[in-house]
Amino acid sequence: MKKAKILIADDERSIVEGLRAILADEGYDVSVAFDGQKALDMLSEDSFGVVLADLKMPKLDGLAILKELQQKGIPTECIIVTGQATVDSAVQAMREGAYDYIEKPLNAEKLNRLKALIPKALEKFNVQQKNRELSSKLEGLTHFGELTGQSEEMRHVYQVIDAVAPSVASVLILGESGTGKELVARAMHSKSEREKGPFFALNCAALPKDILENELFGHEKGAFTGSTNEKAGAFEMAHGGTIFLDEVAEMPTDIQVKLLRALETRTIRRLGGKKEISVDIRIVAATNRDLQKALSENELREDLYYRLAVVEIFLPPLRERAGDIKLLANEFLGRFSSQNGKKLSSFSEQAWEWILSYNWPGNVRELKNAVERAVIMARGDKIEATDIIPRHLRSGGEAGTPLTISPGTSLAETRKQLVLRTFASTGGDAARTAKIVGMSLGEVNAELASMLNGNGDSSAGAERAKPASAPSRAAAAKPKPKAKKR
Amino acid sequence: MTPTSATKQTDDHQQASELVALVARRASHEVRNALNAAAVNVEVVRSRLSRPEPDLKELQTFAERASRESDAAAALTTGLADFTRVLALAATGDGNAKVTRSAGSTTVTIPLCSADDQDISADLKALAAHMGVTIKLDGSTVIFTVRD
Repeated sequence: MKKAKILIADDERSIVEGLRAILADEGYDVSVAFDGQKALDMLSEDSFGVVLADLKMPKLDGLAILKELQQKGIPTECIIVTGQATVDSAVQAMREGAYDYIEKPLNAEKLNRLKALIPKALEKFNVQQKNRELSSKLEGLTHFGELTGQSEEMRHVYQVIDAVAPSVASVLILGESGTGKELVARAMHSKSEREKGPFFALNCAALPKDILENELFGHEKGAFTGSTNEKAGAFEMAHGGTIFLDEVAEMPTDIQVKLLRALETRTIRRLGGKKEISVDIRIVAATNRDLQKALSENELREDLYYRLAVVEIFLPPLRERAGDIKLLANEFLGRFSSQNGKKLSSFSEQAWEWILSYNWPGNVRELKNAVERAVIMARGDKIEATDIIPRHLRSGGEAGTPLTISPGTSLAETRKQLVLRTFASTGGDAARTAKIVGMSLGEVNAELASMLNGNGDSSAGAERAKPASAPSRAAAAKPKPKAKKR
Repeated sequence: MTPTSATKQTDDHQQASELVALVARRASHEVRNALNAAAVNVEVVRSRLSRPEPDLKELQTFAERASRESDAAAALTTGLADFTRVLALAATGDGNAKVTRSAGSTTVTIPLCSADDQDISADLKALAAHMGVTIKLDGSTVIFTVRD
């Protein structure tokens, strides 16, 4: 292994020579500088894990070096050596970012302290160095495992995954539905040494209690009526790999107790079994619940929470990572176009406008589904707003997308839009539409007819459903009955 | 507003005390530095002696350095003792100190309360030189010149 580099900055030659010998004996690669300026020059040119700087030095004293290091962003850990009379400045040095200080005279006791201090300072330096490398490596990164995103928030997530993946620490992933919690769990698995082992995902909310218990722990032959065979549970099957427990807060509390025990002892017992089976697994759990609430309402046991959340990863909702929406939308467009054998290359300007302004409560999953649907619906080589805006949102009304009328819009056009939107929001009820907008049924039908004949329909409700059909309510309403359902 | 001679005296007295304290601090710093160098080099000798085949020639270098530094510390301590003697003679308490400032240095003149025919020792001269201070004793006064 390469020797760690240390710089001694002190103007007292005898001290420097002694310290150099002592630290070289400890196995470090030691350099020396006899004044502060020289020390700073050396630090700028070369990388030192630790610099041992005397507080009082000609040209540039220890404090001034600290300030310069901070200002220039030179990475190193600084240990300040000070005389007793200057403890105040030592405290100031700590405030300026020194790793620690040590008081003169450096007798046997102090030197032992110094010898113990240096490896710790080096460890800190190395960890930070690794972080610096990692964040520069992640700079501009758009993908990580199956995750997509280049926003600051996602980069932070990648960084945590990268740091935590190699350990066996339990991880709890927090985030709204559709943010990609399982993808994080998979990335955690694939970046770890367990990669070759199984990845076993289980949704704790989807299964009734007895079945969930059976799925997790398995059972012995004859454990209950009808159990004619023995069955290994998820814990056994994920041995050597990772088990992903989604919606863990929905797990019934008595199973939580068993899970806690399994986590603590790393052994499980099948239902109806006596044998303790030891398992080597890494647990990654996830929940979309408000944790504080789940804990205070005792839906998630606190002791289990602490076991699961050795590391917590928060996945931001899509609306908080606006910079990623475009990236994701384009990626889904490419993916679904080729899957569906279509040659769609882009979104129209109006489509982008809507995609970027919508708040995506269903997060990435909703965006993915919207793009997939749009790809199927699209007729041209571009995805239009009408292809991507879900039907229930196109209809204004209770869905809350207001009707925008820009200055310069004619009364006739406004009237058309109003009728159409209202018509859509009523689920295609022309009579109710007439009542709401204050027109006669005849007038409403006339408006609808003009639009369905391809006359001046600009955006919103352009369902293009059978344009040739008569403007009767039945025909126009055909695509609508599902409008309210979501 | 011109200071009265009384306030001038008080100011001078305070400045003189501060300067003397500064010199004392510098002196103890010098002593500690020398002791530190000795301690560090002794420690090298000690730890290398515990090796199976210590390089004695190399150890000698460190031992000699430690010895030289401890001699220096001893001399500085003697100088410090002499400094204390001079300070004890200087009547700083009665407000007769005079402070004059010139470019790059400050001079403090303190009358002695009893005549001293002893000269200041070579050790104190050496210590003073280390600290950037000159000390002169001329029978009835002591004059410190402290470089900024």
